[in-house]
Amino acid sequence: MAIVVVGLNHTTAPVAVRERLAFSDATLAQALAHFHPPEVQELVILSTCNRVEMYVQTRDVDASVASCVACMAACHAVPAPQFTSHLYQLSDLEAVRHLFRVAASLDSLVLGEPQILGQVKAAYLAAKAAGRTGSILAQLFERALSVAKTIRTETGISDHAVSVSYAAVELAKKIFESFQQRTVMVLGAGVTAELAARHLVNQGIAGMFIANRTSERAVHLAQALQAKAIPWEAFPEHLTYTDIVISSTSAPHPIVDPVMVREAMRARRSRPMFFIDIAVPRDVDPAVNTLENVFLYDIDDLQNVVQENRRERQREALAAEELVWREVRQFEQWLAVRDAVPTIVALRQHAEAIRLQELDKALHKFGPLDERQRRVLEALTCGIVNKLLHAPTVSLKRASQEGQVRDAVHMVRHLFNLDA
Amino acid sequence: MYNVLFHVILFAYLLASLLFWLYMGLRQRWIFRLAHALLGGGFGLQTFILSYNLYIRTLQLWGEVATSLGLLSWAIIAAYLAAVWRYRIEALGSFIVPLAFLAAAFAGVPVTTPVRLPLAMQHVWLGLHIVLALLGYAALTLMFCAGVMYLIQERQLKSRRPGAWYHYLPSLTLLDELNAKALLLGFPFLTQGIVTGSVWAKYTYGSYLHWNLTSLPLLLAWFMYALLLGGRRTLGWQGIKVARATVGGFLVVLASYFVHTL
Repeated sequence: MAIVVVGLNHTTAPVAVRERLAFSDATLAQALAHFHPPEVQELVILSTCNRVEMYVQTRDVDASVASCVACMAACHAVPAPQFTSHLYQLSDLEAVRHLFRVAASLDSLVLGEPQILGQVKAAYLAAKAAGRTGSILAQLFERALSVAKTIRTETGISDHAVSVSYAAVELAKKIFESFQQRTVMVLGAGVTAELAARHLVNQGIAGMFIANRTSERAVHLAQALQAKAIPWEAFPEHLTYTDIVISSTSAPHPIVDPVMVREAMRARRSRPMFFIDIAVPRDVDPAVNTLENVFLYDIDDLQNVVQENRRERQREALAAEELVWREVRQFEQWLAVRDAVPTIVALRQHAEAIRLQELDKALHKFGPLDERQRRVLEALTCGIVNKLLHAPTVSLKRASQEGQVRDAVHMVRHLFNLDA
Repeated sequence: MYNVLFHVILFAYLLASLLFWLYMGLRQRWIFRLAHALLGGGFGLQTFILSYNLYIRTLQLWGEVATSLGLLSWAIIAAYLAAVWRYRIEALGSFIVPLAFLAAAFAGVPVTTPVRLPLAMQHVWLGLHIVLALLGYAALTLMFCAGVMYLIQERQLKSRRPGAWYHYLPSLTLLDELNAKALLLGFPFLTQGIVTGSVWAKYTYGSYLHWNLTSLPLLLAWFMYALLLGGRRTLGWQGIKVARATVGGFLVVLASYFVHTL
């Protein structure tokens, strides 16, 4: 019995290949329903925009890999030679570790991105609903999901924002804590400003002003974001009521200067203000940052923050890898114990069958015996069987605890001819 | 026995302080939990000892300023636990628990001679005075820590290259709010501490304004509270200004205490 994964991802295959092999919901259901080669006992198909992977539990690794490739080719009508060079294939603990890393987003394009966990879960549930998971893959995927959750909570791998607009939201959170009573002003109605503004709207801000030199654009954007469009000339006086300013106009010179901000700060009794200046050339005079309780980040600053956050995630990934290894070893143990138990049961049944058979023969030869004599014979045979089987049972259990169960199981099955 | 238990508490606070610092660097949850378990254990033990002492030997307890420092560490931990329960600021422990440890460590050193206490009535007043004043001091310590954290976080944000501190510390608004709440709670405590103190002085020395060991830091702390409260209420002070004033004021109170006692 082996766990095998066959697939490709963003590191091994270009998007041109990935997009042709991606399973849609319909093809996925079809594949789960109709892909039934005899050597594949259990099957889960994971298909995201960055990876297509088939997890199988099988007795014959090579045959099942071949049929997985055939399935991918057939489902998408792509000749196998066009993608086989991009495939990777891992088996047993390597496959287990791979899935754990995938679920924990250690194998993702953006380290620590949160979507993959949901995608792994969906893939597992789809296979489960189609009746394609048995005890092994079910256990494997349950554990993968729990490892991923542990890693998410115990390490900081998905803690810090790795995009400019999210980094801006995170910075604002370190100033204001929550956005519930905060007002935002957007200067300029470009795409970048809109993106950052949208993030803030999703955080539940109290209100938003939008000012643009051409007021139609402002009105249009205001409708999209349920904000209030204000005339361009009115923005300096609105600074008083604004906590966060997002600026992305195409003005050649700064449009917000320290004098303007100092005035606003006096009116707002020094309540903190945060300027996010994503315009190039910059819209906000850098000297604004020297004012008390005023914070200014331009596009370069935000990019620095993002870069630092990426490095932070990479550091956290080291701890996550360690957790993955620990869980892989635990899964190995589970597999081992699982392997040992049926063998012990089979061994016992085998011996019991022989005992009953031989006891029967002996009783026939003895002729009529009284109850006490019968019981003595029963006890004698039971005693011999138990004493003989004690040592192999104990060694099997010990081997499973020491992680060498495969050899032991193989040996016992071979010596006692249990697979006949 | 008291001595042994006292050292156990001291050790628990020291270890908790070190663990909080370790947590700051390593960010592993179990370290944080372990530090809290130690802190909780030490605090429980200290609460038990203090209430036991209160019950058994009221007279000596209120008479020794040394014990009041032990009480101070207890009050600081109590303030910390309340603040963490209310605001979930993980970083606070790294700042305030070491101060509680220092307060407990100083309590081991007898600072002054016991005060003469002839009348039972006076013990009650002195006890009330000390407890209220200490809760005021604990709130002040809390404000000081919030102020230090504010200054660090503010510098991180202003530098535009936020580092590890930035992630570890909470938001400026939250720290400012913690400062404001501690001020609002601490001020009445300290005021009553002063009132009860002068009533006690009247009973003992015949004058409301008797100049004794603890009155200078107490008065300074009270003035600082009043200044901050006034600044916040009438001048609209907030953020960095309050943080600076709090840290400065706390250091002045601390200095006056040492100048006065050592």
